[in-house]
Amino acid sequence: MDGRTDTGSKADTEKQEAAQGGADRTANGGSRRILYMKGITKDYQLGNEVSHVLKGIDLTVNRGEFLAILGPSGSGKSTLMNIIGCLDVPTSGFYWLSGKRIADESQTSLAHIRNREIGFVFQSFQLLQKQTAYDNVELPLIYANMPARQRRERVEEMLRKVGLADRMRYYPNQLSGGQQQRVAIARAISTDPTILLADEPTGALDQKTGEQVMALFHELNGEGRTVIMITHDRHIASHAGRIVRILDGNISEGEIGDA
Amino acid sequence: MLNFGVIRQSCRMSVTNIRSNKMRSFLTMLGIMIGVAAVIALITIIKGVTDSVMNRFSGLGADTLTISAPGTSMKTGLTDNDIALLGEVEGVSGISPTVSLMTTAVFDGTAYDKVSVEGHNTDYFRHNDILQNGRVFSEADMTGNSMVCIVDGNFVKNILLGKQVLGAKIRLRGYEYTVIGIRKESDSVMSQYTDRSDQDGAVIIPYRNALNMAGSSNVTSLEVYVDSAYDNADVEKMLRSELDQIYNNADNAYTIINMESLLSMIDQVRTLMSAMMGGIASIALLVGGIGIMNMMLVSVSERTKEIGLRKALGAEPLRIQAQFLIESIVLSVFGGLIGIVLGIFIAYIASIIMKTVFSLSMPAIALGLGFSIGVGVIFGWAPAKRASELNPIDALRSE
Repeated sequence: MDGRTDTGSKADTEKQEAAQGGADRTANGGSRRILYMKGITKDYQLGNEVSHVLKGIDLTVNRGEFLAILGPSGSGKSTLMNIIGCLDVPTSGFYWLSGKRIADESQTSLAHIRNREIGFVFQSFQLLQKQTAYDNVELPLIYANMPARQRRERVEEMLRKVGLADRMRYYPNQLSGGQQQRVAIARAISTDPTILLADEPTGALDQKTGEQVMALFHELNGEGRTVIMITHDRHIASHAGRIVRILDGNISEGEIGDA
Repeated sequence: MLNFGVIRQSCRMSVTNIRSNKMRSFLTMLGIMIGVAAVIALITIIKGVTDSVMNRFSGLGADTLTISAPGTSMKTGLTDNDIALLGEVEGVSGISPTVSLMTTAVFDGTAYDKVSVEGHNTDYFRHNDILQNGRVFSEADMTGNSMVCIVDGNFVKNILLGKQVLGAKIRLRGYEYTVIGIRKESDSVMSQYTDRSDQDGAVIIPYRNALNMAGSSNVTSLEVYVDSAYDNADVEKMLRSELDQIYNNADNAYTIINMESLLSMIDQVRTLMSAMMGGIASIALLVGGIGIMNMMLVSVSERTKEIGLRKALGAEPLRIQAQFLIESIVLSVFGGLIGIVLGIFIAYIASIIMKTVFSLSMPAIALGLGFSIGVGVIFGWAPAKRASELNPIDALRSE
């Protein structure tokens, strides 16, 4: 049902894992390793049958990495993304994010973690249609309780960064797909999250705009941001510095050629 | 955790929502509008009607007991001695006998046969502010049975015909009276409900003169003025025991009308009626509230994806709940405000038609506003709770 199943029997293991997962921060002075997963499983109950969507995922991501998780649909990559994004909790296994163990958190603290640690970029942009680009970017900052003045500076800075300073007051339906995705990226990085988590970010874009968006990801990664991108597209995945492949609930490190 | 930015943003968003679903929002608000309008209108109308009645009655003076003492077959009315006895009752600050009759007045050689005559004493003028011009009777006028009178507006208009009023000489039953004062137009209940249009005029003369004129020595009607330090009911009780002695405990020898208890009775009726009408009107509010709940539930399911997104961006469940609750409150308060204006307008029109006082009832407006906020909270709660409990993954997935 959740990570709790481990706590009794594997108490020692947990301590050990905690040392591994959280130790890097103290060991290196900074935190090189920002995401650490060990033995993550996720089961879904479908009628009488239990479907094992994730079958023990081990994954480590270091600060500043550009990681692509490559897999076909039905491979469990969306479930993995939900767990990475703290939208869902694993059935078993450990997950540390920024040295914090993510398990059994209340909906409220999960919301705080999503707000501060994760910047989501979705395939279908997921912008609020009745709000301007400015308002959309402002939303996570409101949830972060940032003071109004600071918020305004931040929103303007973010929209400048993605090259939409002149489109702040535009509504999503007045923007092209590429522009909308750039608004979404501005929104995702507005709270300066630990991880920029993108789910098929170019899936709804033509190839040219897709490349532009990928260029933006490169730029952000170049500034030291950690990017995790989930995709089924090998070509898109090739933009990443590191690729892991997910197939049938199992993960493996690999090159594009392996696919 | 719920900072001002969130509330302002939620308010702005709900206004956007209301505007983008104009027809639906209007129909939703209609219930609240009608409910609040009904509450406001009914309460204001009832207040206006009772205020009008109260105004007229209070013209008689709240600290006045009116005694009507036709007496018994053995003893008609009250003698000067009896009146003096009643005047000694503790708490009585004054007594004015009232003698009324119709007679003929002659002025300038012309006779007018429809003139009402009232006899009063000086206490009457101390407790009834009726003089417009001139002077009232003095003690000397009373003891000396002076032939002086105070006339009303009709008398001036119909009989004196624009001649000098003060000092004018008129004849009543053969005696010459000098006009020393003019009374104001009264708005008391007696004058309101006494049709004077068929009269030529009314005069007030010292009460003994009026008794003589009526050919009687006993008074059958009295106004007793109660010292404000005393309770009307206590004084009434003592007067009753005095009168029972005077009439040897005879039945139906007298009646006492206590203005204060009459007023408090009217007030009770008003409160009861307001509560009843308020109860009826709140059924409309209930229906309106269900309408709001329905719209909010629809809105939550329509915006599942938006809710999921907000959660992914870091909105806590409580914040989602607050947002939808604020939307519901904005909707109902907006409807409530329109309802208040509508209700006041209806009450105003009604006051014109019914010729009653129009007075804005602040408690009613506060009630209307409170009702609409309450409806927003109560009927918005469940939909907002539902929104806050949506699973972000399912919510994001829904297309």
